[in-house]
Amino acid sequence: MDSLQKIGKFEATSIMVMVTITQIVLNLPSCIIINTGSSSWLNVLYVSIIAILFCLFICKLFKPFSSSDIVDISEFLGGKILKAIVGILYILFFIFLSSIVIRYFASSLKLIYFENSPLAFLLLLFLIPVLMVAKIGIKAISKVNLIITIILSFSLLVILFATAKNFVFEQIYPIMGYGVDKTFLVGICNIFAFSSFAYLFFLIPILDNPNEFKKIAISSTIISAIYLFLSVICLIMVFPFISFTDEMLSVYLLTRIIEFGKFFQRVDAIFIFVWILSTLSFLAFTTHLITYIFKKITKIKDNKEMIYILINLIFVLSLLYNNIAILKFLQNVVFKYWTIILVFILSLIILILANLKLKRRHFDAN
Amino acid sequence: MQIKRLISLIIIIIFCSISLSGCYSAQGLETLAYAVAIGIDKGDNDKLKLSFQFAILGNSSSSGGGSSQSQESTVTSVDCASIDSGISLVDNYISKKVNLSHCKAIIISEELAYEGVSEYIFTLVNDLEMRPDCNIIISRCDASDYLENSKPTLESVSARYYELTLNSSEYTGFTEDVTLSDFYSDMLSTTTQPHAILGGINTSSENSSNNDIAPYDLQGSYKAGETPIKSETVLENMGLAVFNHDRLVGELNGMESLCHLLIVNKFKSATISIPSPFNSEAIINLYLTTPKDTESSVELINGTPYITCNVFVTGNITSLDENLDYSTEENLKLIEDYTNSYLEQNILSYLYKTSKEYKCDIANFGRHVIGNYLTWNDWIESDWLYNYQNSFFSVNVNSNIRNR
Repeated sequence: MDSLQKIGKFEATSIMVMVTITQIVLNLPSCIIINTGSSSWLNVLYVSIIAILFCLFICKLFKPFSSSDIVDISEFLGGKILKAIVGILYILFFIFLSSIVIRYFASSLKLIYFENSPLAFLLLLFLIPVLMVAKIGIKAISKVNLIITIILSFSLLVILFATAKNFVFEQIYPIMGYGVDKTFLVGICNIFAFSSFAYLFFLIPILDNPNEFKKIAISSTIISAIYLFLSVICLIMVFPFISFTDEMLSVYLLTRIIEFGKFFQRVDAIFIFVWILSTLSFLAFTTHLITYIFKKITKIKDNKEMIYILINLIFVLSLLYNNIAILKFLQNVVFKYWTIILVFILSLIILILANLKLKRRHFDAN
Repeated sequence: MQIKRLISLIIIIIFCSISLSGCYSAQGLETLAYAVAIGIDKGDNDKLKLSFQFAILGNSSSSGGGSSQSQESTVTSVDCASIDSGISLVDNYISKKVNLSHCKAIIISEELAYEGVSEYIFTLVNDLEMRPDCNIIISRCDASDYLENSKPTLESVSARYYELTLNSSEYTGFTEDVTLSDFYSDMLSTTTQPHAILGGINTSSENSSNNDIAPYDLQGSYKAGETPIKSETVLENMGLAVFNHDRLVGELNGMESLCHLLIVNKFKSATISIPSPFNSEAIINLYLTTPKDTESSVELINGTPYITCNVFVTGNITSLDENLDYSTEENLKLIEDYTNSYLEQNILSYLYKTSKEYKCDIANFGRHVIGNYLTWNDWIESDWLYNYQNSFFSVNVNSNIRNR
C-alpha cells in the first residue's frame, strides 16, 4: 500500500465488518453454537464485551505509534528478526484463512448448485477476478467493498427479520447451555469470532486520518458483535437441532425457509449471489494485505507480481483439503487457536512490550 | 499500454465465453423428470417401495401462458433398499434424472410409519433439492395407492393441487399444514414430538354416518378417508398422525386436530357445530376465529406437570332458526356458555388422548418448562417427553359469540 493509496473511515469500517459477516455466512455461528449450545447467545454477548474491551486496550496501545502497523511495531520492539517472524506469521495466517474461506464457499456452491462442475473450476472463478482486482489497489478495493458491505449487511438483516415468524423464544433455554464453565471459561475461546482484529492491526498506515483509528475500531467491533449476536440467536430460535447437528452452511438454512407470501419462495439464490460478491471482496482485500506485508518484510520495490504466486499458493492450498470434515477441523480447531494465539495473545504482548520500551526510552531521554 | 489492454480484453472475453456459456454440465427440462410427490411404502420384494408422481410437461405455448405442466401425471413405483437407490433405479428406467425441487408432498404409508421413519426423513432433509416446505402426509392406505388415486377435479396442475388442498386447514381446521422442516425439527426436539397430516383414500360407498355419535360431534369425528362424501376426488386429508420420536403411535380426528390448532396457536378459522341450548335435538353452527393467542402455562407440582390453557375464540352464529332470536343478550350468553363447555370438553379430550393414550407432547408444552432448567444436562435428565404422560390439564375457553 503505497503512500498514495489511503482509505477513509467508512471504507475501513466496512472492511472490518465485511470480514466478520463473510465468516458469519461461512458457518461461524454454527462453530460457536456447537461449543456452547443454547447459551451461545449469552456467550456471544460475553465475548463481544471482552472484544470491545480488547479493542479499547489495543487503541490505547497503538496511540503512541500513530502511523505504524503491527509489523512496524514488531521491528521497533525486536528488530528485523521479530519483524520478519511476525510478518511471516501474519502472511501464513491470511493465506490459510483465504484458502479455507474460498474452499469452504466453493464446496458449498458445488453442493448446492454446481454438482457436476469440478471444484478447481469453481475456485478459479473466484481467484481469477481476485487476481485482476488485487493489482488495482486498496482504494478501489475498499470503495467497491463499501458498496458490497452495505448490500451484504442489508441481506443479512433481511434473512434475520424474514425468519422472525419461525422464532421460538423458549429455545434460548436452558440459559446456561452446557454449563457455566462451558459458557464463560471454555467459551472465551469463541473470541476467535473477532478474527477481524488481525486486519485492524494493519489499518493505521492506510487510513486517511490515523486519528480516526479508535472510532473505526470501536464502531466496526460493535457492528460485528451485533451481527454475530443476531445470527446466533436467530439460528438458535429457528432450529432446535442446530446445537447438535453439524451444519455446513447454517445461515444458508435460514435462507431456505424464507418466503414472502406464496409468490416469492426459494430466494436463497439471491443471497448466494451477494455472498459470492462478499467472498470476492474479502479475498481481494486479503491478498492485497498479504502482498503489502510481504513487501514490508522483504523491502521489494514492486509487489504486484507477487500476486500471481500468491493466488497460485491459495489455489493449491485450497485444493489440498481432502474433504469437508478436514475443512471443518481446520476451521473449528486450527483457525480458532491460531487466531487466539496470534491475534489475541502474541500481538497483544508485542504491543504491550513495545509500549513499555517506548516509555523506557522516553524515560531515559528525560 | 494498448497491447496490455488488448490482451486483458481477450482474456476477459475468453474467460466469459467459457464460464458464462452454460454448456458445461447443462441440464434442460427435457433431461429432468419433476416429481410432484413421493410415496414411501414397505416393499414387496425389498425394504422399500418408492413411488414418484411425475408431472408430464405440456406445451406452454398452446396453453396460453401459465404453467407448462399438463393435467396428466404419471406414477412410477420401484422396490428398493433405500431412497437414493430407488431414485437411481427410476433414473435408469425413465432415462431422465429425477428432480425433487418441485416435490410438494411426501406420502408415507401408516404401515411403514409404525416402524419408524427417521432414516427416510434424514435422507430427504439432506437432499438439497427438497424444499423444506414440502408437506408430510401419513397415508392410511398404501402410499403408492394414494398417489395413483390423486385425481384433482377442480385443479388442473397436480403440483398446485397438493399445494392448495393442504391449505384448506386454514379455513376448516381439520388438519395442519405440516412441512418436512417442521417434522424434522420436532423429531430432533427435546420439548416436543412430531406429527404429520393424516391422509387416505375415500371410497364413499363404504362410508356412512355413524349413528352412535351425536349430530354436533359428527362433523369433526371423521378421520382421513372416512367422510361420507361422493366425489370424483378420492383423496382426503383429515386429522393428524401422532409420532413418538419417529414412530407413528396414533391418529387424531378432525375435531381433535382443530383443538390441537387452537392450543398451538395455528388456528385461523373453522365452522363447528355445537349442541343447541334451546333444543336438545338441534345444533347451532358457529364460524370460529381467534381474537388472541392461547395462553398456556406449565407448573411442575412434585414433578408432575399441571398444564393450564386459556383459549380465546370469537364465534359468529351462521345457522338460523325461525323460532329463536339469537340477537338477545340472554340467548347469546347461553350459547357462549355452551360453546365454552363444548370446546373445553373437546380440548381436554384431545390433551388427555395425547398425554395418557399416545404419551406424546405434540403441542410443544415442553417449551414452557425448559426455562426452569439452568443447564442442558439438567433438562435432559428431567426427561420431559417421558414425564408428559403424567400431565394433568385445566382448560378455560373464553368465547365471544356474535350474531352476524
